[in-house]
Amino acid sequence: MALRGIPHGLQFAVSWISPIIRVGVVMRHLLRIACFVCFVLCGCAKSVPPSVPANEAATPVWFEDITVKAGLTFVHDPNVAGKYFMPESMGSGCALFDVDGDGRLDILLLNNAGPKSKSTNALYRQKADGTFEDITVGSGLDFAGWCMGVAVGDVNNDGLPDVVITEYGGTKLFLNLGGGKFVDVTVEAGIQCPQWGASAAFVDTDRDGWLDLVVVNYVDYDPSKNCPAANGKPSYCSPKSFPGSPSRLYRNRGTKRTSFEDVSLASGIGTLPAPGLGVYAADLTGDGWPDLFIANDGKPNFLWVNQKNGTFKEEAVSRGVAYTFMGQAFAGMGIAAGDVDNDGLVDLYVTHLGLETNTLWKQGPRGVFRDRTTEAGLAATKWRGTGFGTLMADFDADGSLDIAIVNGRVTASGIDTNTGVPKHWEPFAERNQLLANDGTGKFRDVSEANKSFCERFNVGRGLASGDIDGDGAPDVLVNAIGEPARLYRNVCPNRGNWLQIRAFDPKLNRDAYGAEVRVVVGGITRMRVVGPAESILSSSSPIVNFGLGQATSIDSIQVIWPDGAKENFPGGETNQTRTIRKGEGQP
Amino acid sequence: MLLRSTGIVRFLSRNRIVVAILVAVLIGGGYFAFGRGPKVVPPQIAEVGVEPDVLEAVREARNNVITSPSDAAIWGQYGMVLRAHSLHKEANIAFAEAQKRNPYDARWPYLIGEYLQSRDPEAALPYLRQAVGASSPKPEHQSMTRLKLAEALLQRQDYVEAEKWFREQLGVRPNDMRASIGLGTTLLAQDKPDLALPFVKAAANVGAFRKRATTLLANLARLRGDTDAATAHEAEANRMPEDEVPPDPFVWDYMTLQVGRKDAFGRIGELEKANRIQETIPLLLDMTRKYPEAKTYFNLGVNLSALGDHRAAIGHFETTILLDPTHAKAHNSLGLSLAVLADTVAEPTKSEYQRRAIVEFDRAIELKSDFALPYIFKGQVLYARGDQSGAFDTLRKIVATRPDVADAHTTLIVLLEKAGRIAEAKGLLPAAERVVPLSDETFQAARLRLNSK
Repeated sequence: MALRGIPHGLQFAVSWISPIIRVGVVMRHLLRIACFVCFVLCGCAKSVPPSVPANEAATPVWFEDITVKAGLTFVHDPNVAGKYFMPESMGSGCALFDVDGDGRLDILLLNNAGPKSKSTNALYRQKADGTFEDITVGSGLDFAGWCMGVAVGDVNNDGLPDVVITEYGGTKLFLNLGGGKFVDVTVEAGIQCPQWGASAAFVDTDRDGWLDLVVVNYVDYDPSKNCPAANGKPSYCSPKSFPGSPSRLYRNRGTKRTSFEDVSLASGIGTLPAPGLGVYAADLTGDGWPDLFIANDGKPNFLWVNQKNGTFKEEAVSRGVAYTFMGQAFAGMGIAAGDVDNDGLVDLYVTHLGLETNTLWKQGPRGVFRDRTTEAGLAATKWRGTGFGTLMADFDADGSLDIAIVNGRVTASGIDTNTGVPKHWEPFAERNQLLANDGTGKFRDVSEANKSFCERFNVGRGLASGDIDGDGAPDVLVNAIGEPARLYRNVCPNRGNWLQIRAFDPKLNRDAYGAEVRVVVGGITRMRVVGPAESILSSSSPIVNFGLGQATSIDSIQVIWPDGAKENFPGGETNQTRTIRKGEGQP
Repeated sequence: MLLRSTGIVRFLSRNRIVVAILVAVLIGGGYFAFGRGPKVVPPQIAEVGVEPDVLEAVREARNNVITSPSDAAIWGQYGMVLRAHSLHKEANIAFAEAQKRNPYDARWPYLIGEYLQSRDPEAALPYLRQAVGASSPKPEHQSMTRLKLAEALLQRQDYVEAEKWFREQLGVRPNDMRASIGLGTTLLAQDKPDLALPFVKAAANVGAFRKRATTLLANLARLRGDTDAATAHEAEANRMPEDEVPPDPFVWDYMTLQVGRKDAFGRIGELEKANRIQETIPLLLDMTRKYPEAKTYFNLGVNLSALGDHRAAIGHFETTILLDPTHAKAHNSLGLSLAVLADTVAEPTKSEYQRRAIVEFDRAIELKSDFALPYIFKGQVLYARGDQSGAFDTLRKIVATRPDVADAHTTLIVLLEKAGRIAEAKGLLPAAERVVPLSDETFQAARLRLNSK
């Protein structure tokens, strides 16, 4: 008699004994023993985990937490009232930008305690010694609300970056008056968006020289709806409990007095409701016009392709970024964008729930994307998390873009204790992640070696990057729910050489959002897109950063400006920040 | 050779029966003494905050385990009750115990593997393999084990083995579109679009994976550079509803064990979806005793008003608001029921109902400024009261705030036309046409009328 599931040797032994032993019970127990042995041998054997590269131990530490040293004292307040009000769980974003034009990056941190709270947003100005002073009071940004996302861009081309803040229940536009002061011009400017706003971005969609505004709205939330877990315990609702909201596009009229026209319907963008969270604006089809990629939470993503006539066409399905390669619409949240394999094309990395995987859609051929998550080594990270903020930057300046992710669940399913996270949020807390690019577009997880950024549990949401100390290395800022915001300085030893470029349009008197900057070094072309809106709810520095490895000089620089004009600029030395001005290069 | 020459070996070979009995006694004794290990205590859940109905179901299933600790099915049943209520950690312990006691039953390794698949795919794989190797109660369970394993392998880029299992499933069930789309995806991942195409096309024509398959066809066309085909497939995919993937029979088995609030509302939701509203009323009335919450009263009010019983509905909306004064939807629904009742009564009651309805709509708008329905209803009530200016202001406001809401456009255009403001109504048509579906007969009729004037 063949015994299924029992190893051959054991089958032989049982068959040898069975004719002799007639006591059924003993036989049954013997079989159970055999099966148990089989189970232990076969079933319990965990498959071999993915091999760890030999150089894992040598992974350098990339970041140092300098929050206290830098004088940042902001603590995020989600104003937990025990009602499981869904916007509490969304957290808030952050921004790194030069508020006052002194050449140093300043910090804006959003708060989420509701309009009746005393916990306002916070604005910090960087001083010459690298520490930050709190200039919140009287800045105009010092209001309380269910603040979610921030976008930074100069809407009136006066050389000062203005700010949009999205909220649960509205979106506000603030003009920068200089000196760290802002004024709310939402109503006068024609921004009327009472929905639950998430990420936002400034982009010149019609190439008229004036930055337009796209606001990604989340869901049509109903606070009276309770969503207990299956065991009856209270829980935050899933976005699937509510209809999605359409995004909004506001066209900048370019008038002396800042004024926008709501072109959401006319452009097409406002016609498709979806639970949008992340947004990235860049030319993703190669026609020189900016497109919009929107990460939707639990629904297919959108890729709005610019039709060059004020309208957009949604083409995510055929361009391969609506679903994962398994056909799933995961919970799209943050977006990291960049050319991970230096093939001259922007790739998209989107964070998802911990029960899913984050997804890397690599572009190629131009305008078409394919899910290459597993091939890029991104499916088997050291741990999984529900990713929110994410961005690409060359942290070790080896010439290829790495990835940072901040994690934090949306359901209270964590079992880790004594994490230091406030009690209500502890079951939501997770560890962040860092993924190092090996130079070919394949990644290895270096989180364990980077304890400062990755070891601590947090409910991470906002994530922004920029070179805060002018050393050419991207630093990062994190805004986590219910905890102090944290600033991490890049301390990666033996970093490669670098180049930072500010792409500036003197006629427009502002950074050239949407410009593609290509740096050629030793025959290798590296590309970056100017634009601070990536990650989720956050805004990074608009200065593009190139890691260059061992290269000591640059062959040439090419810029494709947002209006389609191409210019070449001479190369030069590495390890400097250069301002490239439109009109000063060779066609 | 050396052993054969020893006396012990000679003794053993001449007394096989005696030796066999001795070995059996030794193994059996050892098993009874040590093999069974310490008595396994069924896992207990942290009960704080867990609903009473859920607690009762869990306790009952656990007691069954205590009564029959050696019964695999009872352990498995306990695991399924736990899993049905998202008590995953304890459920997995129970499934592991069930598997220990009956490794031939595919359900237990499958349910462990299914849980691990989204958390630790590498750890899930051995369990999914065991499930395929074990026996399943029904053919659909057997199919599911193969498909799940194949999909797990595909996810980790084990294309060769994934292909093998998809093909095996297609051998058993040639019309299994999940296997077909899976195989197509596997071949595409290996850059074999020509081989993939027949399987993708098969899934695009019929079954529960049409949207996914059509999406793949759109992407394939785009990769070929065939923009027209890409656009056509994309438009087709976008018109399709989301794929309704057949339920996982293993999951379905445990979901039927769900009890408590979530289960009760789930059952009501199913009835509502099937438009069996009348049947929900006794269930909801029963739930007002068990779960006297705003949600219960609100659902009851909504379903009563859907049945036309606005008077009864009003009482339940008022109770909802008493329990949750910030319930914007309850204010709106109360306003709507009052407005509908107003049409059935004479003055001065009519005006009073309308006045009260407007108060409720205003409160709903105050609570949720982007809530479109109360604007639309308020506009209609104001128009009915003769306040055209108030009606159009209200409707214009919501069209500006929520340009995506088709009903706001339709209502505004229809009322403007009714008021004889044809030019204004016509001016609003282009924006409305962008969001109002062709299936909206009221709008389409108004559009035709306006365009002919």
